[in-house]
Amino acid sequence: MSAIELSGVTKQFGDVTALHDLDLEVQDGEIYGFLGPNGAGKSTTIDILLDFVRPTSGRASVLGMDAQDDSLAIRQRTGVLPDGFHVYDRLTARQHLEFAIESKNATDDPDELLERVGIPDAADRKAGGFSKGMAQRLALAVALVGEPDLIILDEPSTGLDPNGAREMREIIKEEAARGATVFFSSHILEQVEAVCDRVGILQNGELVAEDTIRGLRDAAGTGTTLRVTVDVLTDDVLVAVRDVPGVTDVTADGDTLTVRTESAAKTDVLDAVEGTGADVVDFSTEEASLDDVFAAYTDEEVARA
Amino acid sequence: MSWSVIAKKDFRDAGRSKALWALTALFVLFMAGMAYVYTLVQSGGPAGAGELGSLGLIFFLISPVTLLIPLTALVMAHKSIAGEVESGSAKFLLSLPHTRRDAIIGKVVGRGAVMGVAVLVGLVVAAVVTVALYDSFDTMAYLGFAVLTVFLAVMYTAIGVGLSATTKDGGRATILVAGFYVFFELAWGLVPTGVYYLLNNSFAPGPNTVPPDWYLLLNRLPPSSAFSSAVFQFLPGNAGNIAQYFPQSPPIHLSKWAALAMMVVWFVVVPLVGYRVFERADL
Repeated sequence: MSAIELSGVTKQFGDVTALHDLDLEVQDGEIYGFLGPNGAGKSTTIDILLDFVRPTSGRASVLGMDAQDDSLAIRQRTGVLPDGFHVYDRLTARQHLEFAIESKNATDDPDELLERVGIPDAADRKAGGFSKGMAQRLALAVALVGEPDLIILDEPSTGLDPNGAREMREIIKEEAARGATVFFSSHILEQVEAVCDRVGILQNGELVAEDTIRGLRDAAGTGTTLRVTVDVLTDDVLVAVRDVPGVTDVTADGDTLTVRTESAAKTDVLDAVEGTGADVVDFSTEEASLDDVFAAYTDEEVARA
Repeated sequence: MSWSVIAKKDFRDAGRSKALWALTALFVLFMAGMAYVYTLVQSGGPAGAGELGSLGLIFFLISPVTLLIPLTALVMAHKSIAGEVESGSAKFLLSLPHTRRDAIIGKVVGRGAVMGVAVLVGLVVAAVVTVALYDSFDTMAYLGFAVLTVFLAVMYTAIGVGLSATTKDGGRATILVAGFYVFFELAWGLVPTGVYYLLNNSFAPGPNTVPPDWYLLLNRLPPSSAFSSAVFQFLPGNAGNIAQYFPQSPPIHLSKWAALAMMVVWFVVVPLVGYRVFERADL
């Protein structure tokens, strides 16, 4: 069964098309990263799953139920960290959790949950005085109430320091290990790379790519980049390197070559350089970063630069 | 029953925000103060020391009550939904398993309870003052007045919540409730007068004529008028214009039950309209 299924979902706000004929399927039990630049339509998609927003056309189902007709049953089994939410200023952290626990008829211990998200000392403090990061941790604790089958996290690392973001990822992994499906959106790639089984990239309301991280990297064709500095850079060197099978692009800057390769081994490139009589002074390799992958899908110009 | 969870949270929230305490203090001061002021008014009146009775106090209280309670209830309630949607705490609330209907009912009950408790405490303190200083205390009449006054407070809270649910913008919610108050409580008198003018070419029935039923009915429609009509007609003393025009018994649509029904209509219809809009809205 799929935990989330969108078919042909379009959402228009006035003249603006936020989502355009979106199809998306998240399998039961997987961690799905929902990537895209700000304004791509990620939050709108999540709002549709929670029935905060109704699609102009198309259907959305969550946990096998219709997102509009069965929203209450869906939210009973779903934990949510919404984007752009606001805590109740006058309620303490514990009272927020008590409210969520009572709302879901759950039996969790508020203190245990606060311990888990790393703010046990804030239990009796009013949430109005919380930093963004603390509010985010509190919201995560609320999302964990009742051992939900599906956890939806909209930009969960907002306001968290790197340490907090890492703890967030640990919790996501624990929840997935328990059997929960995790759907989380982000515009930050490292967040997604570290935990997600599968990633979808949303751009202008359309899913432009969907695969594993490795699959995306391969598909984006931004393989490895070698930088080779030689004592004297001659045309012979350039020609020799270009002829190496698997090399896609070679550019020269002073005495440094920048070599893009799909598959060529770096030793083949170095052998080719030294075969012309030149000496290699320095060299380094760069794996294509996920940013390059991301950019390749969301902005062709940036990928070429 | 998920609205009860929301109502409880809202009530506690008000208690924590001091709003409950401030309102209670306000109504204690107001009701007890009025009860005391009335003793001065009566002793200084043309008849010298008139008889000091609780019924007189009640009729003395009607018009300040219909001014103060609607205004405080609207101030209390007008951001209840719109403010939450605007700030984003509605996302928090509605990501939990609550329907939008439960959110509205919970707000009406929670904030209605805050208003109701504050008004009730005020009424109790005023009753103590009355028993101590007055010549007579009509328990049944005072009880009836208290019930209707608490209902007025809850009804106006419901109106505020209902109006709040029709918009996602806190500022617009403020304008809406202000507009509602101005139209129904301040300007409404022009409506029956205007209709009367169109039909009869004069602005109001003469002093010695019985106005037509529809004219009397129109005047009783606004929330506060429904309340004061109910107070006049349920309590002894034959006060109010209906008792003058219909010494025997008024037609059904001008009866005390009609006045009460009108209060119920306001209590139900405005939140229902709010719900209709809120249910369809994108948050």
